[in-house]
Amino acid sequence: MTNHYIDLKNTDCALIIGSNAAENHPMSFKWLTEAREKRGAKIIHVDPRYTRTSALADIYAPLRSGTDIAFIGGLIKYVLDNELYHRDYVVNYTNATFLVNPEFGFDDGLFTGYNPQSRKYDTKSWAYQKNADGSYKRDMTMQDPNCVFQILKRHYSRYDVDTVCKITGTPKDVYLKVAETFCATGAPDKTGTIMYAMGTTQHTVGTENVRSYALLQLLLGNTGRPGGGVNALRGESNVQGSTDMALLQHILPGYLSSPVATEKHATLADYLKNETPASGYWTNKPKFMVSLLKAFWGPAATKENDFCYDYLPKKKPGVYYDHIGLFEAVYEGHIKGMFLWGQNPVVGGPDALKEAKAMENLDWLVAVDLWETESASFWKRPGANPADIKTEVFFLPAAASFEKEGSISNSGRWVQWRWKALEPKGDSKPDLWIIHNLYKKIAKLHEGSTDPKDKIITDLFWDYGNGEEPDIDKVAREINGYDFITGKQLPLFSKLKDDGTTCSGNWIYCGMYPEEGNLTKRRNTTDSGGMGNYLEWAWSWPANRRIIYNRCSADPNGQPWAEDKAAIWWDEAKGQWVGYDVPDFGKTKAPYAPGGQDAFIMRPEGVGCIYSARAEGPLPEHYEPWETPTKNILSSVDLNPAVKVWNTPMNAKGNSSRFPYVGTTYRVSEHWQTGGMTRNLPWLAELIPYMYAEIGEDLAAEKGIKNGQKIIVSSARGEIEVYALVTKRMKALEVNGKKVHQVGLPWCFGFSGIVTGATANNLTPHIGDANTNIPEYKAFLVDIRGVE
Amino acid sequence: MANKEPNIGIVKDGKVRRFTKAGIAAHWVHTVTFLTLLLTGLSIYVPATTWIGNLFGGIQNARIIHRVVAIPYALFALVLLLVGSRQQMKEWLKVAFTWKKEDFIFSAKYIVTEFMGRHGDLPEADFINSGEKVNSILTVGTLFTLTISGFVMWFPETFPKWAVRLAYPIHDLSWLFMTSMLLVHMYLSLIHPKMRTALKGMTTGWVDEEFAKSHYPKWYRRVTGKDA
Amino acid sequence: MAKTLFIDTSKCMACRGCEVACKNWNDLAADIRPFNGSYQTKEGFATQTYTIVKMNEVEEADGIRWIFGKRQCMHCTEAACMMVCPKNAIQRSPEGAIYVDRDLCIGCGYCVQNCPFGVPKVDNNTHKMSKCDMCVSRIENGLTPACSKTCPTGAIQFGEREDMLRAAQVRLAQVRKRFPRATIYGNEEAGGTVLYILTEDPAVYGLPPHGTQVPWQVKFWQYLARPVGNVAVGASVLLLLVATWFNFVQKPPKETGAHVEGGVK
Repeated sequence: MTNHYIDLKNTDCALIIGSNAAENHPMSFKWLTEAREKRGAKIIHVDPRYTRTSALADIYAPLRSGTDIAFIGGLIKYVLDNELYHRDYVVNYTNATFLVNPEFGFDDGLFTGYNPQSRKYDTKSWAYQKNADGSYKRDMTMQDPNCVFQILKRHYSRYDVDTVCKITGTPKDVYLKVAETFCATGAPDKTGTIMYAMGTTQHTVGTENVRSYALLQLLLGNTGRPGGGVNALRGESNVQGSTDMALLQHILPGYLSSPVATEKHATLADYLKNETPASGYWTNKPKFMVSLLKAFWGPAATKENDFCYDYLPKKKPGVYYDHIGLFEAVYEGHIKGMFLWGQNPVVGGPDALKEAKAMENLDWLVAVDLWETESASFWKRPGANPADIKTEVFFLPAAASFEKEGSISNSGRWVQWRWKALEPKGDSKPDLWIIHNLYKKIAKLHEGSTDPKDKIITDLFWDYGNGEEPDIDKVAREINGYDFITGKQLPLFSKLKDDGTTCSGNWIYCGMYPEEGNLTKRRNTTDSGGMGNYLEWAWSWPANRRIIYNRCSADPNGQPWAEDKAAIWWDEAKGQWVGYDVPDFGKTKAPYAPGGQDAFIMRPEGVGCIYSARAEGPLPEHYEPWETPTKNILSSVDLNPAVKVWNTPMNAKGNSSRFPYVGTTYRVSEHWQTGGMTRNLPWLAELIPYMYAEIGEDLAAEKGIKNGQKIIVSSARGEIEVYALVTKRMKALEVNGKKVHQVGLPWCFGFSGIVTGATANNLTPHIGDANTNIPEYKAFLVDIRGVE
Repeated sequence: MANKEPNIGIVKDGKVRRFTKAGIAAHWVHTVTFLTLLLTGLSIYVPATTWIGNLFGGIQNARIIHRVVAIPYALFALVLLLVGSRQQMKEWLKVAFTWKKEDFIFSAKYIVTEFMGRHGDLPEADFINSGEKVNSILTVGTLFTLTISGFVMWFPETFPKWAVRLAYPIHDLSWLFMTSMLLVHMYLSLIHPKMRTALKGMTTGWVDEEFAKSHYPKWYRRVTGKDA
Repeated sequence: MAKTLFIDTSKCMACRGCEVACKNWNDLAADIRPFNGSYQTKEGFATQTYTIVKMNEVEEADGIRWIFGKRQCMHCTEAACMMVCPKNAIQRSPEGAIYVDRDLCIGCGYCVQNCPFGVPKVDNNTHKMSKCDMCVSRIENGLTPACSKTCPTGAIQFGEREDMLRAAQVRLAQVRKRFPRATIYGNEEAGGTVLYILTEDPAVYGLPPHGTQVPWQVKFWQYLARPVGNVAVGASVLLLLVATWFNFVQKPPKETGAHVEGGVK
């Protein structure tokens, strides 16, 4: 989240799209409820299904799954046509005024520079125009035909309401109501928030879906302001923390890119040269990277040996290391061993049947979980013959969050310490204990080895105590970072150095554990200004800032756009920024100083990017999902032109004549992810004890299906038998002159636990987004039939 | 029964036949079932009498016994009379439900005189006197109200809510009325110095001619044809 | 002293956290029923289910609506269950919570039949009634009921009766702007220990209509039938005592006439 949960109370309008916030992030509704009660805020829900969130919304707008960009694109056009954008904000804080290379263009679904063979863009023609001195060319009147604002206008001119509604299936009157209500937040004294989750990201256009929200929020002047922002409601309580700590393949902790085995990353110097921009706060990247390497390899990391940069694994270009790529590799037999650490791909993975099948190729599997999940017991899954599966499976029972100490980073980037409430049950151990002792054993195995490659292990700086019990406080101290010379904790990432005298396990967390102590343990409920920032409650990254880009909460002259929307402002007498939040800006940099209006300090441009290069282009463009019931009416390009298409057995494709309905998966309040935890707890298991498919009354009538009967839902990947939940809440949509039914499938069921059921992901495709390769769980084609 | 039992009103050895065997049986079946229901019911219904439930093996057993005994209570006495002795039934019920002015005078006078051990100048009674008529009517009436309301309470899901809710006060009122009458009835038959010998009538079926003449002169004359 | 549980259905999102918190605090067993084609998997109260969130789909002119409302014991200030309980097993705490003393309860089920809100349930094995007791063990120790504690949106508030009544009235005015049919429920109906803001007709939540009172049969029973019956028994006893006095203590004069023995039975 650019903002945080409590800040939702400051909003005038919440647009919840691609999220079922009431069900999956109930706490967000505590604050939305307050915004509604105290400010008269409006809540809009845009979703394929009418959910409990829709029930709480003022406006519910249905849309066909996978058409967010069309929906938002229409809103962008509405904002531009009706001049509802926050002009001062757009001119000063966004790249709308920036001039783009005149060669840049867009035609029939493709931007300039596309290579159909590689399915990749050459982005040269997308670049900004620069002056001789290297500064960006801008037209503050936004009239230049090559300025981003004009490009934006041209691009979204095709997204008129009728076209948009033809794509999304949203009734026109409802769409206009949404447009009118949300776009009113373009007024300088109003803010609107966009809340999204996996309904947005789990598409072949997931990244551009989010970009479209960011773009709209910049136009309306909502980002960096109380009650505004682009707010990702993260899928798990600590998934923000796991992302920050880079439990991902494409980044290192603190959002530093993973090195790739190319010349660009051959040495540390090459890496830093190519990864460090010329302007913006990321110019400090070398300090972050070197401090990270020092945290990894400590005394062994010296200037002479590139701070052990060579020890970092380098990704092979063109190889996919994400979930889909890994399982394709397992399926092909390239990967022989697997750790599943709180992961349950047999239920949660795309095309889960095939992923389970792929796991049979493993020599060994270590599953670390609270209960024996479907993945831990994949070898005895229904239909499998254990005798035929040679995989050696180890199960390590893990302690639950209440049985261990540590920090949790919530969606709002608040890092909150939690204490152990009770001892772990039986043999179960905290994850940290498991990894600590695993490392100790591995290190012992390599003790005394002279093989250079073993030095990656033997040189590892594992300073978390020598006993069996790891010292979590030392882990926290190292994540923050300290000075090797003084031995003192660092107060903030600005003190990190690239000379090897400091370490920090994650530069954005630097500041959470200064000399005065672990700030994530703070529980002070003082709230200056009543804006809900609670600056002395725990700690949030970066630098305890609660709303990032909060320079935008003040006008170019440094004063709040509105009294009740104040976060920080310039105090001329004091010569510094003051307010209710920690400034996300140079504390003493005056508004009138050079760069004093560069509100987006992380960006080289210093401004928010309406126009920003992604794999599939610099502006979000609507493409149909991999499996679609219709054609793209905006261009002849149906599928996102930059996605990796896996022409493998794992990704069978269905067409709309055989599979006429749009399937979409989702979670419910009552269950957590794959149900690994909730289906093993009686009080949660009883709440939703059966797998079902939600279908509309008209589809049920067409198919002669009665509420509560068993049906088969099938896709090109497989079929599952489930109960039919026939509801008024699922309505057929009118898409491009055709009636399109949607089928909703919760994905929390599997064959283990107190309550069991068919796995929805047996139906989902093995294809992902062009930038992140997150699987397209949310839109695919299915058929249904009744079971006698 | 090998021999046909003598009819009501037969005089033999200075005694008059007053109750048939079926009539006697009906009385005692009713007595035993009612008292069982009363005791088990009390244990269910009155906070201070939970101990009574223990006599039946605990309150839950008492609740089961209450239901089980309710069946003979509801059916046996009536069936015995219907099958065993229509004559007795007719004799009894016809008199019980025939009310005249003298019946009221009898009751009013009786309570303050004979009941209190003094001689009263009372109107003549038939098969039963008016006090016994009240007892009889209540016995028959509450047999029906207790049975019906009890049945509704036993199977609440099969009846409309209003009826179930109404059954409780009906059951309650019925047993309370019946019990208040029963107390007097038992007092007279078991304790009252002048009346307790009448218990013999309900054990043997025969009463002394003298007794019949003095207490039920109308009846005596009617069934024997003799002068009282 | 008197406390109130104030439930604002306009804020309920049917997350069912209250259902879980209730089971957790009261340590109630899970109750898995056959699939019923609804998110509301529990159709009513049960011996191990004291609170449920009702979920109703209603088709209206401007589209579908999904209406939620938490149900539990109303803790009536004039409680039919208490009135009809023969063993005085149902009691009221000083805070106003109506709870069952399981040692006294015999499972007769009178409360089940007479509660206008269908709350009490009797376990046929243990022969004990169970229902929401407003977490009396919590509230007498200054805590809020488990459901209220866990509710994320503040749809379930707990506090002093007057404060809650005032809050409900203030809230009603706001809620009516979005839901013109909204009403306050529970104050006139059950004395206000549980107060509702209902956005819809009570029937949508499975509640009896506005103005529901203790059933007339219960009143007839408690205020008329039982006193009359008690008077009858009392009168009998009195009569017998008097008769005993005359017959045995103050001996009657010796009889000479025909009335020797026998008499009225």
